[in-house]
Amino acid sequence: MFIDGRTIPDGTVIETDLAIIGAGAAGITMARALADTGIDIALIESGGFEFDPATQELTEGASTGVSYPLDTSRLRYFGGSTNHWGGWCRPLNAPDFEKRDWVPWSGWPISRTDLDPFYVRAAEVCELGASSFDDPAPWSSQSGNRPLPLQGGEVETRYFLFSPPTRFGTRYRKDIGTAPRVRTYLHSNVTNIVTDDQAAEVQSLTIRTLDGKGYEIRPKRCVLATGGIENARLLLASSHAIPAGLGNGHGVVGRFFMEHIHVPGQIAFVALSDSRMFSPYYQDHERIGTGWVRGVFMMSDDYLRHKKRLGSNMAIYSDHAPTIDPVKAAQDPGLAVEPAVSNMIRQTTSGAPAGAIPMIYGISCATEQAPDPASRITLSREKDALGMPRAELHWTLNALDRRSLAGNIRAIARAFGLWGEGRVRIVFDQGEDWADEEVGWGNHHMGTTRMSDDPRFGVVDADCRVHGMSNLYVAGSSVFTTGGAVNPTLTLVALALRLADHLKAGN
Amino acid sequence: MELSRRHILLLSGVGLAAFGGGFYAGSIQHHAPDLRDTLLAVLDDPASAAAAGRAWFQSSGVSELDGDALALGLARRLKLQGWNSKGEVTLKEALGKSIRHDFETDDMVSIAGWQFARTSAELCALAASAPAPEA
Repeated sequence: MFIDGRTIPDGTVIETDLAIIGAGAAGITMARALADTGIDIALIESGGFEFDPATQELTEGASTGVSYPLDTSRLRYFGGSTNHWGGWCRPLNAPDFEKRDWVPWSGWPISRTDLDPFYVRAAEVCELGASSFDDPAPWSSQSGNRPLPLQGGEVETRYFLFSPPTRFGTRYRKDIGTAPRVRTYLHSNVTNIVTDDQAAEVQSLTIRTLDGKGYEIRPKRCVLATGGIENARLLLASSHAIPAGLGNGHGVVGRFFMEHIHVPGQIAFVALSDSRMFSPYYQDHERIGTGWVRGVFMMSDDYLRHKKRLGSNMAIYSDHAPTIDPVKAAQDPGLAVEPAVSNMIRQTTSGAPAGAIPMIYGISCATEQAPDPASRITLSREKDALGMPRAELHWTLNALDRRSLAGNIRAIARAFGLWGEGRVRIVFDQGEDWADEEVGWGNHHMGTTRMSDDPRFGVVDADCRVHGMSNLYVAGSSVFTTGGAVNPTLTLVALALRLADHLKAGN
Repeated sequence: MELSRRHILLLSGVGLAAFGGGFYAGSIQHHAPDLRDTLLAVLDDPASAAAAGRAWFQSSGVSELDGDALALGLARRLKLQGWNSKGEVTLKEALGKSIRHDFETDDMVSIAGWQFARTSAELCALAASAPAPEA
């Protein structure tokens, strides 16, 4: 059942077994997973079924570090940011969960093995139709696509699978609307999580609507699932019992904000001796069997360990023939050199057959960011239309982030060169010294309520329960301890399913 | 490491002295132009290589290259990969091996962003140093 919060009489008190704050990927996944378990669920959503500027405006906030738009990087209506996601899905790699001695603050309290069964279920939720992320065999046998035999052991082909993309708000609206025990409150903004005096137990949720009304939900248990920025914002703003905010006894809430570092445009180009070597799945997602798949280049586990770097994933986009137009070549020295590069490959290291057609491809790159307590969400002095302090993001990059990106680009240049059929042009050649203005992002907000067994270093425990609180949990990418080099949706859905199982078991 | 005046001097000094016995030994000075021609014969489009070579040394602030010294330095590299007068390893094979060795050891040279193996870059520079063909 869907209920417009604006129609609920002022001062109404609603009791429920479980409140889920936020109807995005995590919240909808949990509500569906728990719909038939006998638990009464209140799913609380700030927006309605459509984009509404006034509601979206509630996400606006300040950016004091690397310039970052808080309002356009997420969507605040039923379905959340799945209303504009691209569908890229891939699990984190096993080493991403491990303590890496060169990555400060790394190490999840759970392993990839713990999450594996939930990744399988998450793939179904995201409608991937397949689940082979590392083994090229299924994609080769059905289509003739082949991974490039890059050499040197530093760079490997790995696979993203694509969600249609599933718009959770549309795709699962009927499931949610017809579930007898799920009541979805739309146009309802939680502005305060009210606890006991010790801030150990959630007692009620203060809900406001943009037309000035208010009501209250009293849950036995509560899951916060409003995204990597809002989760921290609401915990920090719920400060009546403890001034620092809920779960923030050690000042960790809001810290460790992580993104996937992008460089706008092409970070590099690769010249290939023969365009036929590049299987179609590298340039765009390909329908193969029951899944949509795309090959990307990622750094090998051995390379990352040996070089002490963070990972990247690099995807191929545009292509063009080696430039012979003197006008274009005069404008860009890199274009002027393209014929030489192609000829040099052919004349020295290539084994390409006669008739090979050289081609040049653009490469984009997303890189993991190291957890850093200085990169953080705090509360602004400015308030939104509901009187809540706005979020203020101070996003920073550190030396390891920069060193990793610069080093990983060189690694892909080595990999193609060693293979002998390709050469790489590094467009983003600032090395480790690049300006914040050159930094891009993936609209992935991670780490602000990170998972750790130790409350000094994390906000939630391995069960996603807020440290020191009996009945408050967090779902979403804000619980990521580290972010890996892949898009977060599949992992956050897997974690939401895992949390649903935990709650289902009566914990 | 980019090409520099110092690098050119090293190639024409130390590289020359170290070239010692074996292939092309004994008459380096006289045969260097022949050596250059031998090395450049591997290129079926020396003009494009020369363009890359010019881009490299111009970006390094070098206005003039000592082609003979470059040829000798390059030959020394290739000798390390087994290129010899017996023809057991062909020039192209030795070039391939040297290029792979450069990539293995991260010895890459940026020419307008393109990551050339140092061996390839020196071959381009050698092409750039060659006298223009007579009309």
